[in-house]
Amino acid sequence: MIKLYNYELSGDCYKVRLIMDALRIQFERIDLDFYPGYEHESPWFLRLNPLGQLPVIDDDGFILRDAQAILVYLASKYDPSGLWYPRSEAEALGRISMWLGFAESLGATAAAARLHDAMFHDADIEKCRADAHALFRVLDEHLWFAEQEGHEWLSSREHPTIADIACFPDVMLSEEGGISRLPYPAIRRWTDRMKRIPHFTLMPGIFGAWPARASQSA
Amino acid sequence: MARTPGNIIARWFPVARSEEVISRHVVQTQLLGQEIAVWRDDAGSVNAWENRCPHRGVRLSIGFNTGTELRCQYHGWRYATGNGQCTFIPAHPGQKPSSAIRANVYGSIEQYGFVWVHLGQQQTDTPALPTLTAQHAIALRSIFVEAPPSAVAEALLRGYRFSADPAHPQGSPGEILMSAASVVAHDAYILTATAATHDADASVTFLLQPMTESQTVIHGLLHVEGVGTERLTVLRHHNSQMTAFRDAVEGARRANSGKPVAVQYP
Amino acid sequence: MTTSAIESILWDDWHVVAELARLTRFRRFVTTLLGVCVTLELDPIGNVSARRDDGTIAAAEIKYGFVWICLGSSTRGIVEFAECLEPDRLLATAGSVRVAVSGLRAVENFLDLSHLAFVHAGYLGEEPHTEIKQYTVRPLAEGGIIATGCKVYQPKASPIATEGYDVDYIYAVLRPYIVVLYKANPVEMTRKDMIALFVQPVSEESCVAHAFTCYLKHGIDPAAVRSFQQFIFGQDRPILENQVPKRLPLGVGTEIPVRADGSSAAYRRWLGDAGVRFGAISTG
Repeated sequence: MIKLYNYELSGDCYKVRLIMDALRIQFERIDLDFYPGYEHESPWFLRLNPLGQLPVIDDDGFILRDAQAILVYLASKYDPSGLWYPRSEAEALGRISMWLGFAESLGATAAAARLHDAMFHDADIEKCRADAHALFRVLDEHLWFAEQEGHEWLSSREHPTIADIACFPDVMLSEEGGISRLPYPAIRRWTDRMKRIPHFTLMPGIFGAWPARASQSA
Repeated sequence: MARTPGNIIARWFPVARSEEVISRHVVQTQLLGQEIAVWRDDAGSVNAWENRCPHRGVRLSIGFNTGTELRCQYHGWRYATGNGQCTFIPAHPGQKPSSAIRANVYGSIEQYGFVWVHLGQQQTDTPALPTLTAQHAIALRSIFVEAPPSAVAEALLRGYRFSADPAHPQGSPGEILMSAASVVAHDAYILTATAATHDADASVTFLLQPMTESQTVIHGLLHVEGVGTERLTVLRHHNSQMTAFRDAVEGARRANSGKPVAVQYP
Repeated sequence: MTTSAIESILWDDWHVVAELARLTRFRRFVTTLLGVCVTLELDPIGNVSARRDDGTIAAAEIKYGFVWICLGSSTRGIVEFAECLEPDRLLATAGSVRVAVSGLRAVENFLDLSHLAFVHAGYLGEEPHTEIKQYTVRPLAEGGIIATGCKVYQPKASPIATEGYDVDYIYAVLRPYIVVLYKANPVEMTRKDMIALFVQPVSEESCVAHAFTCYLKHGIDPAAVRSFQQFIFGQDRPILENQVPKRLPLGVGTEIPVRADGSSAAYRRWLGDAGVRFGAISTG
């Protein structure tokens, strides 16, 4: 069974939990005392991940760090449909990777703001928030035009991909870092759609979505 | 510059494009400093309520639109579409909630592709909706600006550029020939920009939504004939122009204040 | 609000400002209490000092794994819990979380029963078991209120609970910003586990919620206790941060309670009667 080195309140760990629940993968959580125990900085964990960051997975001895890399691995290995990460389609992979990079930027801005506001982490909070808003403007515009073309997901596919999973947590938890989503109506609609994905799982700070009308397509 | 007559509260303002007030969703917006939750029921009727549950003050915009009610995320209290009456309190499931418990309902109406709201007394102060050209009108993507409505209006009057026919660019390949639009203010919140090429003309009516004293949403209503299959090109063009305009307005404010514009979103 | 204008019930009392563990790790920690910026330092032999921005010293003590300070002249000691002296108890701090809302709202949320089935669905409550039966609230002689006879059906009431059952809760508000919950231990049902929230009022519209647990030791793993408390509080935080206005309204009118809100209504009344203004809206 895959082991996930986890912290329940981590947005990056949530990305891995989301894909594993969506793909119905059984996994074992090994919970670290991230805050206030700083267990991710302890020697035993640094041997697993010298960067001292969560999440890390151990799939029968195959150890991988970095939430985005873990998403690529799990979707490549465990999704028989090939919908979450269509390995044979160059354009789709290019777009998805672009959004995985965007997710890294969200980590440095929106997620950093949340860690600062909730868990006393050091950050240039005004810069984090300003930079997050700049990213949200880009994301909102992209999603707005995607909707105009009949797309519901980030990489213009008919089905969500790991691009959506990678970007969702830091966007959805942004208000915990003082970044309101009021000016981003297209982002707010996208987050509702994310919550309606089959087997979507919650975490503290995230509420579910009321089911869509029966007559609407998923 | 035309002055706004009368009481600003008893005036209709657009707050969202109708097609964006979708089923089982709650739109969060703001008007004159007041947060509003806008939602559509399953029968298609629109509601605009004060974004605050009357129980313990939690924002209704984080709650559920069930299709017939808003359900508050805190204690599950439910409020009926239309009159905002509380219909169910889960802590006392056998009891009918007091009629004193209701969401604060604002007047709302849909016209020209937008949901309009006014914050005045519903029964006495229903204002007249502005008369705009409805034919061949497309609601453009709305742009949020970190600047007061007056600054936005002034900047529009000083100069706005767009192409009357972005689907058929004239000039060198890759270039869209733009005209300096002639901009006219009907009042402090409604301005029209008109541009023409030798075989097309178009006008955009800008409808300003005053979110707070320092934040504005620019809604746009484009009037142009025969857009058809070029709709997306046209939408992208205007989005690009309005975004560049927004960046210039915000940049000028930063330059004037000597520091980055603080994002003051609620 | 000038510092001299802050009411004595807050100014002359002890407030938690940090977990001792945080100070042990960082040696020096800057925080804000009632709008006053304070620098905490731990010396090599384990004594803590608290210095205000203006250079003056504030009284500082260590108790229950926390650093407590008093900005004024303390009229009584730090709150004490008899349970904490029992030998088979595990005392643990369970994390400190910043919340962008008045600490009075955080205390009221802790008292609240009718949100358990919604905000903590599957853990501390569950639909359709949403009904809150009548319970009793009365004042405490030393100030504050106590609510007894509260019953909630809980699917997973504690880290070691293996099935759902109706849990008896007792709540006590001991100070304006201190609230305690007593619930029957799942193994020794005649004795009570205790969870306290020591809320640090940073400003009128922000606070730090410091959680403290005093559980019977049977089968309790401190890491699991801490992680469960963080999980539960993580669910409350976005609700708290979405309350408008951020300060707690003490008057009648803008927020409408029902019978299930007995303890919160009594809490607001007591705050008003006791003259608490910091973090509150006194009229309307």
